[in-house]
Amino acid sequence: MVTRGAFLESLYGLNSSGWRSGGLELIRDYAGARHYLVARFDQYADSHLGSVISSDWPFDLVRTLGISLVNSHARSSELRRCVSAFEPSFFDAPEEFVVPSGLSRRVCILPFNAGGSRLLLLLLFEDGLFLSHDRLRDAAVAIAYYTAGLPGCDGRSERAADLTDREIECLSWIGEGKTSDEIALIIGISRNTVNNYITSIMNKTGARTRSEAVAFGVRNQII
Amino acid sequence: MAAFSDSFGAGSSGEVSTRHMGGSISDLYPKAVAVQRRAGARSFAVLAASAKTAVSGGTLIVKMQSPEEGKGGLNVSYLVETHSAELLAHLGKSPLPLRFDAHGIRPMPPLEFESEGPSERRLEYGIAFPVPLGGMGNGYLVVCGVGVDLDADSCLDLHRKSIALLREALKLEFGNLAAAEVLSEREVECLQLVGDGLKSEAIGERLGLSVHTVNAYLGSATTKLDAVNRIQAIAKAIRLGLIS
Repeated sequence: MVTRGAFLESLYGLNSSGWRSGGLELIRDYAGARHYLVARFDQYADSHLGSVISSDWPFDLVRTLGISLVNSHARSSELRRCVSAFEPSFFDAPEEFVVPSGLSRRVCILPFNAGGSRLLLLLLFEDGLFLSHDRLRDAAVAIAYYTAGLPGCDGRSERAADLTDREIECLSWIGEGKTSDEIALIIGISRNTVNNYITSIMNKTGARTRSEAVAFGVRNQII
Repeated sequence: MAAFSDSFGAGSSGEVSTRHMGGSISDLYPKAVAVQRRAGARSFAVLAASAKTAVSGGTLIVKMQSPEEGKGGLNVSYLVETHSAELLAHLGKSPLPLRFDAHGIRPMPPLEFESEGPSERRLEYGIAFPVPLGGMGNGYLVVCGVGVDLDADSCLDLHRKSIALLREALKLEFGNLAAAEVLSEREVECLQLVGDGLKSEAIGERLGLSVHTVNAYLGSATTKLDAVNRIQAIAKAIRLGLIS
């Protein structure tokens, strides 16, 4: 088995020239896995659908088991996702998924974050293999370094919807639970002006209610 | 901070910690000291980063630090005062460790640590290990005055320990927030629909409930989230990931 030092050396050696194939295979082998799948999901993606970036899983399994694991991870609560980042967990694939013989039904789920994007490494192992948690945790950090150079991974969407500073200020106070009257008092403008700002926010964001406008602001990290 | 370093030792006699609820952040102090020792460093600090939004550029808070020696030299206050912006920006860009010294700060692929010259000729330096956990619990573990030659192997090891430490801190911080997790299914459903722009009447129609029932669910959800009204409840629920 390759040592950690040698593994890192060959991995970082590859990465100097950017995102190339070869690294994922190295990580897979270091973790003792047979197949890897890397998927990306966005924090507030409308559909909650992740997208598979790269994989050498059997295709049928990507379509079924892979996608369903990625989606269920994307749907779990924010706190749970943050706590589970860089930490391996396991999932036993139920009977309905056809796993090729020789492969274990136990899938390793390894969430990691790199460059503002959230990614998931799913590993398939040979049947009856003893897994090293130590190596899996190494793999989580190593793959984060490796994918940092991934193009298009600048993460956050720039969807501030062209709100003005004043509008953003109002929206953030609404998000704190303030009423129009209170906001008028806080910023020192008239109630009608506050309401005008809020109408304008709702027009720009396409929100039907104040709640939806606040939800938009939080989802897009404006407030 | 000083008060904190004084109190260390009290709750950290190395007992096996399975309790998350009653714990406090000072339980993590020995783990941070272990990282500092591994790096042969003079001091350490744990920094928490709050999210960058359009309203605020984000902030760094020192959550825990070793007793600083003297004022001069390379220390955490120097790092935070000088390089706050870089630290915050880097967190959303790359997981690579940042190396800093009196001249500046830059991301450092672990292999480069090895290729540095002999340690005598080198400037005193420190490393900030970014921990991007996601929407919450982001931060850095910083070691100053690194005293051993770091190779890629030990660098990865330190980074792993940094991640584990900040994860524990996040668990501790939100352990007492369990109330928010016990929102009922109906409450979550109603909140979600309010966030999607529906009014109570429309939600009632959609779920086959009366307006009053919907309002009651929203009211109880607002109380559980410790919010003043349903709009703030929406904001809190999204930030906590209870709804999307």
